[in-house]
Amino acid sequence: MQMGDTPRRRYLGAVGCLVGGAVLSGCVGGEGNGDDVLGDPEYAENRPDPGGVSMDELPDLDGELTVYSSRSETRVGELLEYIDDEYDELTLEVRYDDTADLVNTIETEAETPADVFYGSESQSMTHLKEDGYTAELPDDVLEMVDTGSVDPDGHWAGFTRRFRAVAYNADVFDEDELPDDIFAYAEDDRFADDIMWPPDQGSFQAFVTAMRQLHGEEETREWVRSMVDDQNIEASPGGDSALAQAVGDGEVGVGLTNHYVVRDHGGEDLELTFTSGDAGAMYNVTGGTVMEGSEQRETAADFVAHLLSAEAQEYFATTTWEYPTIDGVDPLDELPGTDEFEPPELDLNELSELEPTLELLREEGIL
Amino acid sequence: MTAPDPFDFETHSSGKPRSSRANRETDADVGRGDGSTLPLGLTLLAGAVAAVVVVPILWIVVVAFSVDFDRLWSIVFRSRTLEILANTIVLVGVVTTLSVLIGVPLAVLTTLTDLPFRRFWMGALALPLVVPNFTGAFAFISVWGPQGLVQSMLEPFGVSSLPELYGFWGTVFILTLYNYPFVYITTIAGLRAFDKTYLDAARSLENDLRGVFTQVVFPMAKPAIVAGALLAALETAGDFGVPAMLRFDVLTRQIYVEYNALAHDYAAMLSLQLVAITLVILALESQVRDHKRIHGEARGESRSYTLRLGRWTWPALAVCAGVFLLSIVLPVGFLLWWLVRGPEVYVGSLAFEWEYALNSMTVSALAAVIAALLALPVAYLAARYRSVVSGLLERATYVGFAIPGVVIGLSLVFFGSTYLPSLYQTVPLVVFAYVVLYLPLAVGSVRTSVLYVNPRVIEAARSLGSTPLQAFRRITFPMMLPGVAAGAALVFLHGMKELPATLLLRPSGFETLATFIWGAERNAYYGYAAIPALVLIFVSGLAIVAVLSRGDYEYWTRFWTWLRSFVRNGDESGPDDEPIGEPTTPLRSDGSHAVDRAANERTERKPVLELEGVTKAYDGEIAVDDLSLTVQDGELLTLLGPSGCGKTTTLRLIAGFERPDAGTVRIHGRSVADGGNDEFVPSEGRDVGIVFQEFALFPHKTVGENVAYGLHDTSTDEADEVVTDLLDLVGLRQYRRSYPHELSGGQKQRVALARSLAPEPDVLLLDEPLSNLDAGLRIRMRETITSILDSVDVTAVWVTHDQEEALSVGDRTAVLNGGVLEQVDGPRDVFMEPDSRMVAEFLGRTSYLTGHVDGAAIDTPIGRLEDERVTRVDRVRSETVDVLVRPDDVAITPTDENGNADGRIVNRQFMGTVVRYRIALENGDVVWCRHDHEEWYDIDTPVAVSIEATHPLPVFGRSDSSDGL
Repeated sequence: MQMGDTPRRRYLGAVGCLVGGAVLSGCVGGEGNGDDVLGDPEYAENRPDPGGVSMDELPDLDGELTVYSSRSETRVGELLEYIDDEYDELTLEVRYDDTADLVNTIETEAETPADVFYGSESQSMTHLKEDGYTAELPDDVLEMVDTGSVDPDGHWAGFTRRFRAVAYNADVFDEDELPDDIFAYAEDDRFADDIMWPPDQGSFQAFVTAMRQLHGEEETREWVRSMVDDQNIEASPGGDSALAQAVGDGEVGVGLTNHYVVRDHGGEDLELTFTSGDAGAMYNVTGGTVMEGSEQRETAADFVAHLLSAEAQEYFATTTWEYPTIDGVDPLDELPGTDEFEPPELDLNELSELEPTLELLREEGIL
Repeated sequence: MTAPDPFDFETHSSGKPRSSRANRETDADVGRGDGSTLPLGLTLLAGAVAAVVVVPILWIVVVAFSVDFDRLWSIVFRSRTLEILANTIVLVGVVTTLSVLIGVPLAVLTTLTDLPFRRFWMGALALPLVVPNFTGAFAFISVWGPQGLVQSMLEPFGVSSLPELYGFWGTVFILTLYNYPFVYITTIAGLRAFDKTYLDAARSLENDLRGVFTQVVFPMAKPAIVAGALLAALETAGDFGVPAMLRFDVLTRQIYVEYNALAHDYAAMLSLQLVAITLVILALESQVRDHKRIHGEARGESRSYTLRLGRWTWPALAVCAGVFLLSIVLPVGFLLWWLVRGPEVYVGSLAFEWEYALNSMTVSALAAVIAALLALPVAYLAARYRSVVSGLLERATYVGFAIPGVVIGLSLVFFGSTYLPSLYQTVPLVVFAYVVLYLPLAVGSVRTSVLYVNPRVIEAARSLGSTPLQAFRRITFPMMLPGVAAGAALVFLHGMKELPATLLLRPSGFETLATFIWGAERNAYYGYAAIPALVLIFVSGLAIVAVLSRGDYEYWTRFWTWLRSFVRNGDESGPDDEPIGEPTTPLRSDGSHAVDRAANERTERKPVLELEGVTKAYDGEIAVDDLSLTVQDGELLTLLGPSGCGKTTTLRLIAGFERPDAGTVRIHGRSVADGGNDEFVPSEGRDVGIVFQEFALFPHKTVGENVAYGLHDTSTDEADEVVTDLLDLVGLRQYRRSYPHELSGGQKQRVALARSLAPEPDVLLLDEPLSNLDAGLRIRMRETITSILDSVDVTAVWVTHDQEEALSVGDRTAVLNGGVLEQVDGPRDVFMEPDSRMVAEFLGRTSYLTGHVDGAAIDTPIGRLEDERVTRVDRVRSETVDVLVRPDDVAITPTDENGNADGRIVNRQFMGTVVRYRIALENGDVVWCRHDHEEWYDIDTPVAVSIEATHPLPVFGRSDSSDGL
């Protein structure tokens, strides 16, 4: 899982602009890649043509569509602009913000202007569904998605899967000496004082929620307690990216995180391994849901379909390093195939039962 | 003591009176304004502003109480809560203390010393305020953390680990580094505002530098320091990011957890804990807060005052450089390093655009202007009219300051989307959010600036014919401008880095520098944050320099004039005159009115000023009791009495600054105040001029403009002529274009006199006009002023506590005591024929001889006084009386021990030209005697005492208790 060569030339160019004192605007930052390729050209090239439904085959989008996106512009801005540019009649009004900001906003607004909510995990979508803010998606949209990545009630569709993973420092551990059982990480002496987690992060809390669902309250509490008492686990200072950095720098040997951190953080020494069949190998999805109050639910649903198109899924695979949710698009070669480990069976809707998780973490003095 | 002849006065300290009475008048400054109640319009305005800020908080309360209380209790009432609460309180306490300990010395260094590149440091050291806290924290964690830059640089030296940054001290370190500028900036404003002559004075009296600071600098800068500390404390309590990033568990982290768990109701509920802490902090602050007058008149005087650092120069520079390096250079360098290094992966859309900077500046600038305007009524009310209501209104604006921006932001999401859907997710709502969040910054700064405006200056404007509103517009507001600008700048700086409310309320796609930086940093693409961060620091730095480096009036006055002419678009009419009150004719000071005062003394002229049964009480305490007094045309009446006797209150009643509770004040026969029917003509409607002890010149106007202030209806040319004449009269023609701070005390007083004479007042009032001058100058100015008053033949009342002054300048002298008029008479009469013991004792050193009435004559221990040598002055008829003898009424001759002696010398005071002896008589009486300095007697010398006075000696009866000795 080594990273390839970095596309350093772009940044040197940017620095050149700065040093030259030229107008900075447009110089800094990759404004798309200038090619026809959507997404990261480094990885988008030399891949088989994606399967699935092409955007061309989907209904045209028109009108003004407001998207509340808890995925950042950095990650999906290019893709959404691409869709916006595809259709002259379409104006996408995208509001990028944190999940918490957007969901709390929707719940506070007298009437939300959002047509689509684009979630970076499933809990927020389930949460909105349970509070009655979302509408059911049409079957033809739902049918595009793998069964494990769609709301059984049909209110949201997953666009990408993101796995829990164990990040480790390759200087300290070899992959084959690491356990494939999440509970072993709480018991093995080798990890004492050498392991980190990010308890403030939503993705971590979802993982604990999954553990509660899969293994029960007591076992989860035991695991948490032994992580704290026996392993003296450290809390990450700044979420998953700081955790990845800490593992990459060798501050700790292993860290519990999400698989996609390997894309941006940790440097050469950071590698990933996965547990099998337990909560440690659970995945969550990013996805979209149409708002109940939207006056253009049909267009909104078509927009969701566009994010399930071959082009969009290929973009996710190559650019955000996530696992596609449709047949016909493969994950990036740099990531392990899903056949290499075994995710547990889990209804993602259950991840939204967060309060008992927070209570457990509070009781154990972690929050 | 240099008590001069001919009168040997009791040494009533003639320095600045600082008695309890003086303090009470101080209270009046802040407590009453010109009425005893809050002005309705202003209060309503301030109330509306406070409501605007408080309403979003009310929403939080409503939402907070919609939570499931069982769950809430389990969050709040668990053992950790106590620890979290303690953490929060200790953090706030330590960060605030350290901010004061760093901010105050740095402020002193950059304002009062000869620190090299002082101006640069002054701006540079305020810059940490503009660095978003999360940017600083990210940088420190990266640089200082395990395997960070510092550690890897030290690795060759065998350093494998650094002191832990995480936890309490790391959090304290970062928060102090980025919050101390609150204290620093306000302290600079405070140090600038007070009269530096005090420093010179203190320095000359006391060589001990520590004394100068503890006695002078800190007491005067205290309100400013407290204001800054309050902001630092509240900011620390409400900080959302830094404690979380540095793994220190405080209240905000719990709010953060609930908010991210999509439970905004619990987040709101937990925010109420912060509100509670805020209330405690505000309560503490009000204990420390000081409402005393902190304004000196001579603002900005002797700017040359500089503390020489000497061998401390290098250490001082090192401290400044250290703070600057840590707070600014390090995080910026960190970002630049990432920019050069570049992210190692593909980043789709993170292009910086200049539009973001423009967005930040527009929103912040709008918020700054609006916040400064809204702060005016609240701050003015709180500073000038101290009351429960005004205090509450002011504090109300602070309550939201410690609540995390997300919670306030969400509240505005509710109000915006529910009540103002057309404004929801638009720029105006973002601006409004900034106003709500940062109003206290403006209020604090403006309030302090109001406190530094001497109320006498406003009263001077009123007496020169300005209505309260005009006085505010022409005098108070320009004087407050530096403070208002500083407040606006603080709001601007905070707006530039505001993140959470911007994210919640901005129009979709509206990017500011802060949101862009956050977007880059939260994905750990630090390099992309470098340029916007530099732009942010540069733009904010300009704002800081604009405000901090120019604290003086001239600059702001010019700016203000420019701004107004800009707004009026070339309206050329004179700066700001509007007619008010009766028209006045220009003064003819050709001397034709000059009168020989002495010749005039007995001539009956018509009364100009009449007080009839005037009574005034403050909070039930009588200040002036049933006072009746008449001043004739062209007469100079001195009003004399000890501190607290009511003389200044009398003056203020005449001037129209106070309303009498009973009685009438008439000027030229027209009733201007009547306690009976509540008739009241305010100061600007009376033709009364006033000269204050503190001069009360308008510091932002030139000498010429000061003098011309009262000449409303006069044409420019005429006014010009009057100003020229008056400046000639007071001998200050060449200073016409100077500013007050460029003048000496005596010159200022002459300007004040010229200014009050310009509109040719019916009555001129002088309130201790010489008390602020040093002794030698006081005598000369006394003559100067009397001769000027003579030459213009104005009717005048001159208040003084100095007997010599009163007796020497007045045509008549009125002696007040305890609010009661004891006597009013010619100076010789009050001195030689006092109506009461009080008058006698107050006017000079007195001794009494016990006398026994024997028909028309009186027997005393030193002989019999016949009828014509005494005069009974009071109504007390008794057998035993006291005969008043002044030291110059008696003579002594030494005798031998053969029984001719009347007594012995028990005390001797050498006074220069004379010697004063105290003699104890056989019967126990003690008399003072003034004697030629040629002769020199020892203590215990037996002496014969004789009475030399050629005028009748006053005789006072003894009331029963002391009778029958």
